[in-house]
Amino acid sequence: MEGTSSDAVRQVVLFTLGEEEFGLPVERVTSIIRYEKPTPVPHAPDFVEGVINLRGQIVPVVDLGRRLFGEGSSRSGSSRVIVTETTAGLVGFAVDSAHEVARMSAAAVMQTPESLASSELADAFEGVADHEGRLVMLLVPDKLVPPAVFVSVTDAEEASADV
Amino acid sequence: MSDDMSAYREVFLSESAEYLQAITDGLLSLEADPHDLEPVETIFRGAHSLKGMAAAMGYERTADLTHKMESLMDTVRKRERAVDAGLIDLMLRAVDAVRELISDESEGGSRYDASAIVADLVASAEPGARQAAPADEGALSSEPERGPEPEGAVYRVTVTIDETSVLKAVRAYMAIKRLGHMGSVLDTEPSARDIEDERFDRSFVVVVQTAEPPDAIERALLGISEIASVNVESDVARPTVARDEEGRESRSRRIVPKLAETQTVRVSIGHLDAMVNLVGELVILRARLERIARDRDDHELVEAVSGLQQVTSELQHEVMQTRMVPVGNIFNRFPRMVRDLARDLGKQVDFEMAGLDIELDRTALAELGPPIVPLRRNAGDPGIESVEERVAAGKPPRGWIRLSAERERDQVRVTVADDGRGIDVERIWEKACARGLVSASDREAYTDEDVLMLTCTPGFSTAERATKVSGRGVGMDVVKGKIEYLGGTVSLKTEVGAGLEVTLSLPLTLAIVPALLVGTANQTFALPLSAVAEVLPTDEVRVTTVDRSPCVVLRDGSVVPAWRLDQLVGESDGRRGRPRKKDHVVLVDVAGTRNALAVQRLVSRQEVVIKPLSPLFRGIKGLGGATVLGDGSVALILDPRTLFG
Repeated sequence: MEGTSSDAVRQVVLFTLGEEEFGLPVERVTSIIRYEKPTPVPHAPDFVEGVINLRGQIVPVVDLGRRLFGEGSSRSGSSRVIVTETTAGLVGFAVDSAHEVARMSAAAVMQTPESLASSELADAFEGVADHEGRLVMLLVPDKLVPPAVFVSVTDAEEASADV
Repeated sequence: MSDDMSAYREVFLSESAEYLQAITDGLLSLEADPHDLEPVETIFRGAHSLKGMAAAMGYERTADLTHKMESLMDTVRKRERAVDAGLIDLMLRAVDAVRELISDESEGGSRYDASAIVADLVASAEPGARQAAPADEGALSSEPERGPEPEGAVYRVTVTIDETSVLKAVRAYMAIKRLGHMGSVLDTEPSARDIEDERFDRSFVVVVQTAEPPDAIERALLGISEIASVNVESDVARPTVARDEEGRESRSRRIVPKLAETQTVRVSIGHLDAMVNLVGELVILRARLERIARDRDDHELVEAVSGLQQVTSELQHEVMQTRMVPVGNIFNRFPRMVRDLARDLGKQVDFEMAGLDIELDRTALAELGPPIVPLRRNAGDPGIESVEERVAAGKPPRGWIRLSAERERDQVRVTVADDGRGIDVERIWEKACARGLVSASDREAYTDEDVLMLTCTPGFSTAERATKVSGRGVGMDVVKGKIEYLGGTVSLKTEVGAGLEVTLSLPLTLAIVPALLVGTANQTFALPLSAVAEVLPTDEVRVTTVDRSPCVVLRDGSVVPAWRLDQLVGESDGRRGRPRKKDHVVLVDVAGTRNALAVQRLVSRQEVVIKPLSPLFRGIKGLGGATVLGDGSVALILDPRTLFG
């Protein structure tokens, strides 16, 4: 594929879910912490494991495996929470392991495979990158969380603009 | 702009906002009674101070515009020009322009073009632009600062300005001005000119003759920001001129409302927020220390921690106080909006405000402004009818809108009421049916208030037609959403033809509340103590069944619905199980509605720092936030208003 800006380099946090490898843009990731069991939140969506205390801030933890594929995996000592800035504020994504930050050229990113593009969360997949012979699926943090439901924000802002 | 200047930019921005507010208030009271020229002085002085401050900041266009406003008001002050609607409108437009200019210039921009308004001001200040008002007896004698008869003792006042001040000339000017209002300024060292050009170090001397006592002089001057010290010497005393009745009369008339004089320090909001967060962390650490002390059974440590406890509580209280702001701070912009609205619509509306001194946490207050705007606007239109309609309906031609705040325990209630056309409940019902929100046969199941609350459904608007004012109709759904997001509630009352009353209830503070920690077998939750009526002794709990639902019978014989915490949070199956033998029963009371909550564990009573929950959890009922406990774990805060049902 012909890259228009083939010299653009992006940095991606690499992590795994099961056998597969994924990436999140490094500029959105604020920290990567060891997984500990979150405090469950009653009646929360099933892909939300609960909340954790991150240096005084309450951060929700999303089971990324369950969010993407409908099934979670068992946690182990290598499990990590990738704390990421999203449209819904800080969100921790629980993953099986997070091992490196990779530099890859924008040209290495290819179209999302058909099988994935058809899933409900198609927008969450930006594409697939070839990294040192392995395939890495690049994710869009804002699409991993439900869209903002507070529709009226714009109206309220307009209302306050003429105060 | 140097760093120093940019630090002062914020001070300038907030002070200029205060002056603009004072000018607006002055203009509105002048409009209400054009014969009472007292506000003219306030407006004149406000414009003058703005000019000085803007010049000091190097905002030349703002300085120029405010100078023109000052000149125009000077002609009014000297009775060369009468007060009329045109003048008020022009000055109000000028106020708007100043606001635009300031935001433009403070950002280093040059987008805003004020030349038109400047030209209007200049033209209006031209001699003969309007007939001078006849010198009727009701008007103020237009004496400038030099009073006709100097009176009082002569004082030598030495004023020292903070060394950190970069607006020295402005502060000095304010000081001299203020002394000018208290009496007559006879002399200054160095000269007034030098002071104005900032040719003095930190101190200057003002010789003033005034009837006010020395401590009043001192107080008045210390009320100005950045005045470090004031020394009043009375060695220059001259015989006091006796005052007759007439003299006192003319003197008291010259006293005009002064600009805010309270002793305050300006602190950036960022610092305040950081302080609250730090105190929050301190409260959490204290709780942790308490645990450790208890676990170790170390008496010395327990004692030290209890001392710490007291200090933290006081510190916390003080810090929270610094965040409390009177609602007047946001209410005060509404009179102008109502005036403009009424004018545009050709309606006659009196606007009343009450409870301006009620204080609310500044976060809550800042969030409260936007929801009130549409309410107030809806009250003006479509709420208040046109004059003809009102007269036809046998109502007085002038309508009223009332905005009031009152405090009730840990809640602040803000009410927007009007005596307009009100809302026809049955029409709302028909509309809701048409929209498919409800089915017509269910009318019985809804109280009038329930029906009214349907207007808070997204997209539901009662406006028949879009007007310039209500426009796309910022709906009640926005208001309700915002208020509930803040942990408050909305209620509506109406009577057709008699008006509408909207009440918003908000928690007083949003940050730290006392709570009862309760738990299921596996998880601890915090229940705000404000909603806990009592914890029932186990042997007094009598469980019964009413309509197949479990209830608890209290000592006084009243029957209260019973719920189990483990079921409410989905840990156990079923919805309304009977409290079990080992459960503790907490009586929860929200605005008179009582529920008995059976919890599996009673942990402790503790202050908790409320932290918001992620938007991912929006829409989940029964939760009001989360907090961090002494051991670093997270406890969810139960919201007693939405927990049951």
